[in-house]
Amino acid sequence: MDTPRRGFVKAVFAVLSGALAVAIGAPIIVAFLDPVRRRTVKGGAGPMRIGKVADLPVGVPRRLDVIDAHSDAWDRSDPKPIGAVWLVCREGGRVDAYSGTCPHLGCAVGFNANTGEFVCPCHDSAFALKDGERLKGPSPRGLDPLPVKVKDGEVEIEFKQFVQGIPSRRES
Amino acid sequence: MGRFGDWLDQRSGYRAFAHHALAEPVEGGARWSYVFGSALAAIFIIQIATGLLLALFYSASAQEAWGSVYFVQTQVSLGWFVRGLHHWGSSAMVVLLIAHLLQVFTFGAYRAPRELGWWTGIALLFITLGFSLTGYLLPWDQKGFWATRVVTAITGTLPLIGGWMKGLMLGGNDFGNLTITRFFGFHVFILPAMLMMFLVVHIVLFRRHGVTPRWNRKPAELAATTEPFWPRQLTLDVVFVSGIVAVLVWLSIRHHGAPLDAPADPASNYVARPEWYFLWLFEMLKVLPGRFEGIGIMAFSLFGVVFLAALPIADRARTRSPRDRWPHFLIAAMLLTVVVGLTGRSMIADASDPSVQKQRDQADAAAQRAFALAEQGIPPGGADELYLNDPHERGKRLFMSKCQTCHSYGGNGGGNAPDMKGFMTRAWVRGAIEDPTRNEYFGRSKVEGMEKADATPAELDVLTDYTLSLGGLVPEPKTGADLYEDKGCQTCHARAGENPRTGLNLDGYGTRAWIAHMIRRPDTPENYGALNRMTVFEGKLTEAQIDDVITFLVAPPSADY
Repeated sequence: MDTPRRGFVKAVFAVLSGALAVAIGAPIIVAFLDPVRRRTVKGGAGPMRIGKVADLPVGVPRRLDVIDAHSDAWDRSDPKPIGAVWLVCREGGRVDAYSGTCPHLGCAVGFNANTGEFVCPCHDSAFALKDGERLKGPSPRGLDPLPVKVKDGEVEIEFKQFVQGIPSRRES
Repeated sequence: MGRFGDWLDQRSGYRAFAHHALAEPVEGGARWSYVFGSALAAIFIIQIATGLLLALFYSASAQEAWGSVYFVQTQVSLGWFVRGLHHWGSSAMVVLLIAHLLQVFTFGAYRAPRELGWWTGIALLFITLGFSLTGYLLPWDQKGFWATRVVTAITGTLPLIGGWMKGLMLGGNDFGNLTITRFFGFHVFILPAMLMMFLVVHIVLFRRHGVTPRWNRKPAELAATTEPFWPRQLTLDVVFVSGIVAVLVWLSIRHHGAPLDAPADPASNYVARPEWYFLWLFEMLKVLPGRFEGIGIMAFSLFGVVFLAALPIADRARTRSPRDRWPHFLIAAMLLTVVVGLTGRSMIADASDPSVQKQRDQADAAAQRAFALAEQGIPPGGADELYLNDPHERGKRLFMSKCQTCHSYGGNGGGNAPDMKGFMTRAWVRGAIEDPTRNEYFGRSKVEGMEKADATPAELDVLTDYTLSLGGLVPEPKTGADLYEDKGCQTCHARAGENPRTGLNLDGYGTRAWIAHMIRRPDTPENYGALNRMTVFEGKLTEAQIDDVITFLVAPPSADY
């Protein structure tokens, strides 16, 4: 029932509508997806001093704030707490550092002095004091150890963050 | 597709709906004159889509807003383009509204039985202007801030309710967080909801009565040429919308999105201008004598609104022919002449005023500076603190408050001491050697003793470079020392290792330490001694402040700074 002329009109309509949808829609989608491949929140990179060995009692874990200037999209901030780590001073003066973030789903890990275990209050995962390995609960792996160095009595850590919810340890 | 279509149609009835939407009879056939309404709806949809994207990045607070818009403009892939479409789209809405209004007016489409369509249309006009007004402020940049200040000030001059309305708009007594949350809330929640409501009613009413063909077409001809909305009218609409969008794309690319000025600064002397469609209101303030401006604007606007609103009732003409409706055309033409005339007057006045142009250039330079500083991130106190952490800007502000009572800068300031623009550049030093008695140098100061130089231009160049080489700022020219002595400079000016003389000490000339010493102790023998009336800043400025002033003087980040 289409005359050639009507067919032409419909073709013009289809082409232009498509072009409009692309011209407007494509840039919007590109901009919408932009933050996915961007490090929007930055901070805590590289080794940083976090405390003194002398302040760490042997065998008793201490939870310390990681304090650093960080940037968030368009903002930059003065140094402020951006996360927490657990430090354990071992016999002989070696210091171990564990991320304070539960490897399961990212809750803040605590320490139960009665049981002598690290515990996550969200889903009851428990981790060993001696090496951070998983003792029970849904966490797919043990606490994430962080690179740590002692220099002139100062503890220096690298505040790395890892992908949660998977058995392997991959930096995020 | 067919079976799925059947399935869907049985449950939703979409085919009947689509048929109803597309088969609407267009009396007298498709026409270009009918495209404006559809185009407005289409551009409005584009505004929603682009606006939603912007809202995903926008932060509505006086501290954060500018930074978030800066982020979209400079960091987000194609963010600038989407922002550009939204910005230019808002102007397109206003242009199309005017076109739509004039078309409907000319065709007499407001007459019975279409009065309600006309009235909802007027409501939509004001809602759209509300969008423009609220959206313009959201970037919280100089332009939006000052433009909105003007518009709210105009509101404030209205008799009786002015002050109350202004407070309602601002969310308090002055511009701040509550202003921006209010404007944001209206722009993205309240006004869109209102617009949708009126638009639905407007379209339903339009569908009930159909198009209004040209007044001179015969009923028989109209009946013979009537055709459905789809495909021809809809295609005309899409062709027209494509043209508009092509212009929007072109404008967005040409301007790399939309302008973003420096962060709002209530202390600056920005040339406040509203967006072009409010210029006539702004200009009216200039034209009307002070006492009458509020009442004058209110009377004129009220007259315009009453004229538009009363039109369907007042128009008792026999036919829709403009010839029969000439009194209405006359009033409309008068209103339009005032608006267009005032808009033109304002534009011409600005275009022919060099000081406006100069301030615009300064605003552009300030925006560039803000962009450069914002690369480091917006400080915790907000975008307006970008400058406070910038030595140039701190130095500039110190210079303006401490130095500019005597010194000038680019011709602005006290004028009793040397003009410091271009300080320690070759041109500045050359000018000082060539003729220190000129007013831009020491002409009006108490420092004296050096006369206009007796030297050729080539010799002046060598002397300039030689002088600057004494502070190590440029390599020493070969014949410099000989020429310096030939001209007798050493009789008054001391160089490294020479005893102080009556004139300025040139040892280390132009270095930061040398300038700092001049600022600290201008009264010492090597700094003109008692002749120098400059304030001793030792103890009045900290070392850090002196450093900032020097940074401002010797290393301005751009020529217009």
